[in-house]
Amino acid sequence: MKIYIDLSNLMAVDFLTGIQRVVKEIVIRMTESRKNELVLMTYFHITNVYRRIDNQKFYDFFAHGKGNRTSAVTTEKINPADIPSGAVFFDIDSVWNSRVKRSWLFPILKQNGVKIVTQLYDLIPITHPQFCHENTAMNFMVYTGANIKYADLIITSADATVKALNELTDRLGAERKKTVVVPLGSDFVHKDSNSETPDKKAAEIAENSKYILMVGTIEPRKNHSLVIDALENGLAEKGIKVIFAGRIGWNVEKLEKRIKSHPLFNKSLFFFEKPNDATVDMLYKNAFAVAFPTFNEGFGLPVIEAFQRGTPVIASDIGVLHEVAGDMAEYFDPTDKDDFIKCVSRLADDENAYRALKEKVKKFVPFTWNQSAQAMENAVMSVSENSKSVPENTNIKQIVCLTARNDDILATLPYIEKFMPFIKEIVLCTPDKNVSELKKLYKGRLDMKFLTDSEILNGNPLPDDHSTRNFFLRCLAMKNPVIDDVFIMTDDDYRPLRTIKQENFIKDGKYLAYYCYDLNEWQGTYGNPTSFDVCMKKSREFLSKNGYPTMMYSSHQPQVIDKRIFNEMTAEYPEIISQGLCEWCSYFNYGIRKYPDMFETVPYVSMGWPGTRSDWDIYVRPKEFLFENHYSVLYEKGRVFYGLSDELNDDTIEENQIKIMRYSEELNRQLTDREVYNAYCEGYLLQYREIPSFFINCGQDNSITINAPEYIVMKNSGWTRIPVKMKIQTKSEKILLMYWFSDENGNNISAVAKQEIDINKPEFILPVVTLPFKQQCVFNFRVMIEDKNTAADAVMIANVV
Amino acid sequence: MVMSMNDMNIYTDIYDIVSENIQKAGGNFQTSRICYEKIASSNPVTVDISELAEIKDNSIFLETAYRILLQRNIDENARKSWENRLELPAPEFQKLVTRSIIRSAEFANTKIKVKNNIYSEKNSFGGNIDGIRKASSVTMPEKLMNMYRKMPAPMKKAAKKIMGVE
Repeated sequence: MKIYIDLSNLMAVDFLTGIQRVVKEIVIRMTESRKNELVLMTYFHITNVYRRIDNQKFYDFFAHGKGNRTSAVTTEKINPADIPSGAVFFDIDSVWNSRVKRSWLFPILKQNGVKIVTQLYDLIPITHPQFCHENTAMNFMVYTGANIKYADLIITSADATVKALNELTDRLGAERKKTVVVPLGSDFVHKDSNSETPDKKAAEIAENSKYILMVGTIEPRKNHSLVIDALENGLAEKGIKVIFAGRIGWNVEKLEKRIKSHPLFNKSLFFFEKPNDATVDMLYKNAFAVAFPTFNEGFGLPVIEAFQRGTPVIASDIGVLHEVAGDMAEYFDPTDKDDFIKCVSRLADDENAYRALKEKVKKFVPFTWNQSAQAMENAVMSVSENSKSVPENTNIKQIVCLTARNDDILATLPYIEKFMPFIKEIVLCTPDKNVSELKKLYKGRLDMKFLTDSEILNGNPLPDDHSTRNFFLRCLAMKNPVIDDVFIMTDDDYRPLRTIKQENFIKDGKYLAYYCYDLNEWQGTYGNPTSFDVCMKKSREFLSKNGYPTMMYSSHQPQVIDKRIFNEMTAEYPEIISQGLCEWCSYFNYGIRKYPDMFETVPYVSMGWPGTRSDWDIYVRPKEFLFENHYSVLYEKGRVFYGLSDELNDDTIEENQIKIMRYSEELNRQLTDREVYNAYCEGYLLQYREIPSFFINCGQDNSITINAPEYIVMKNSGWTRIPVKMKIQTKSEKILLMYWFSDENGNNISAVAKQEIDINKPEFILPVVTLPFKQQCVFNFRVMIEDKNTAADAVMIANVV
Repeated sequence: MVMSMNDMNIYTDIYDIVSENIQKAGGNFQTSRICYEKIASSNPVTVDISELAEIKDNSIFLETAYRILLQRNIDENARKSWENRLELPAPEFQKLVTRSIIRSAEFANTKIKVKNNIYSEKNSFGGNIDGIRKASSVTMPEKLMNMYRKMPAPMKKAAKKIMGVE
């Protein structure tokens, strides 16, 4: 199982504070234990992409100080949309301020069936926003919202954080998250500090003074002021000094000034900025006590770091610190300096009490980083533990086909017999009237079984719409015992092109799910949707509404189905049976979300989908072609398979090679057209700093404004597709979009193409038929509100190359 | 992937809760709820200007444009320089702000792309022509083409180069 970790923050900072130290300790251990499974990445702002980090170089730098962090970043790009299903995205770094908002990233990951595990350090920016920079609070709010919505598991380091999270989810009316508490380690291995020496000045003070130490970033939440107040109001008189070690944080300008201009500064009050590990270690060991007057905390690392060195702690009387320190610390009210002074005085004045506390601290058994890392790793792995897996002994022998066309299925069966040797049995779901003819005409090797409409429907009426009918019948058929638990589902015109094995459907213990598109991107026939398009739309709506991924699996090729999962889906959502969803899209997206370890998503391998390159732009290019989505029209004169046979014969294998070559060429032409358009967009972006786009505003007063690119480039003799976005405020529903080409003298050199706007889909891709020759000309673009008699034109130079 | 209103609810609900928390502590957020919504729905690579332009309040637009396009808070100098233009009509003000940001070197460094830039310095066409009757006739603005036609060949070439078609 691959584990992806975004280390953008750790890789960007040069001084490691609490969270980065945790990230470092955990991830270096995971690079040892999960060598080949761990994919480390960092967001590369210069090019706005994620880049992979070399695990070994990361380890060498962060564990041993060898090399540098920049050289650990490789040139390999990682597209979040390519993170495979079944992988885990472990969000352990403090990434909330990253440009890549989790509200954007997590839906993409969930779409692919990626599990999300987040280490939530605290909820302070939510519960105590006054202690945070406002930008941090805003970003953290987005981060928290995304985690509540999408994370599969939240790891915290204290129960107090779980409690705060539960309170928040309850208040939001959201489902409580699954959580695991993993305490943080405290045995910071000072590999880096072996070669370091403590700061001389710090060492001199530490060895010759009784001092209270505070370690951590100087920020309002940490409450350094209280300790200074205490120093001024009694501690100094007692000969107790105060040392602050850390870096300057946010909103502490006044405090910094107070420290540095204090009359006791460098006498009884000291500040060591960004001390090295050796200095911190030395300061901890020699401190009379460590003070932790924080108002709120996620864990309180300084507490256990102090305990680890046998140093007593005087801590704020807050829940999380009781959880961490138990009875080994002295507690005080963080709003009361006198209470703090009392606490310190008690220990300073009563040697026995101080010694007793030290004895208690000696018994402290630190949770090690190895333990933390192991527990976190177990938690990360647990998100897949309860998943089902495909049984090893699964053997597919059955293919199931819904057909009302005897000729088509009879023409397809020889291909299945020849090229799918593992298939022994076919179940035909077919109208009753077709059965006798099929029985009479079929003489092949397959054991042919029938599930007639009357058997399937059992008195239910058959829906009229094609897609609704198909889904309805398939849902009902799936309940019939004649259908195996695991089988191949196909249509009567999906033909294998060469020998197909079971491994083409089940590989490495996973069902292969062949996708062809993202339903969110599928436009279909704009303005005039087909039954298929409507089916896709309904499927997308169902899947989005219920939080499932929305990939499109109607790849027009046979696919493996586990009917137990299909039936689980229809049992959970019985209403969908009559709603005409896409059986492929609903099943696979449901299955992938529920049982990500049982599925692997792969690009489809079907030829003839699209039938011709002008039908629609492919979303993913098939790496190979194993099946043909058979359209007899493609064998007609002038079409891609003209002259080749569409019946099985002795030359079929050779002919299939030719078909694949011709079809690949057809797809290449579409891709070339797209490449020309993409190159134009890139060039345009460089020139104008914007992506060329058409934005049309149809105002309430029926006025029209068009924002169009300065120029446009497209490939000749083909299609290009232009993104158009409309803002429709007019009450009219008759908006027409037209385009045509003209020469430099204003004469039209193409027909005027018209497209009616679907006011429910104001953002769409306009298919544009380009000129059949190369020409520098003018592209005319007109928008009309027909019934209001208003229109606007946009003209631009067009370079048809 | 476009964030739906349902998706947005959880984010705005959190904003409301945290606003309440900061008020209890005697503070207030400077960042408006609208600006926060835009942050929550922001795409790290591409910004749709037509969506930013949905903001009607100039002051909020200014704050949001800096956060989304430049990935930072507006600085005091910039705020002061825009302050006396806040009373301008929204489209005019927003056009000035957007153009100014997009022209800047700082924006170029963010590598953020914009699309549907309704405030672009380039082609913006409007008006109310008698479209239906003329729809199938010659429609190119005569002025533009007359200018082009009258250009000597080298100038035509230069014009094409400027347009990026040569």
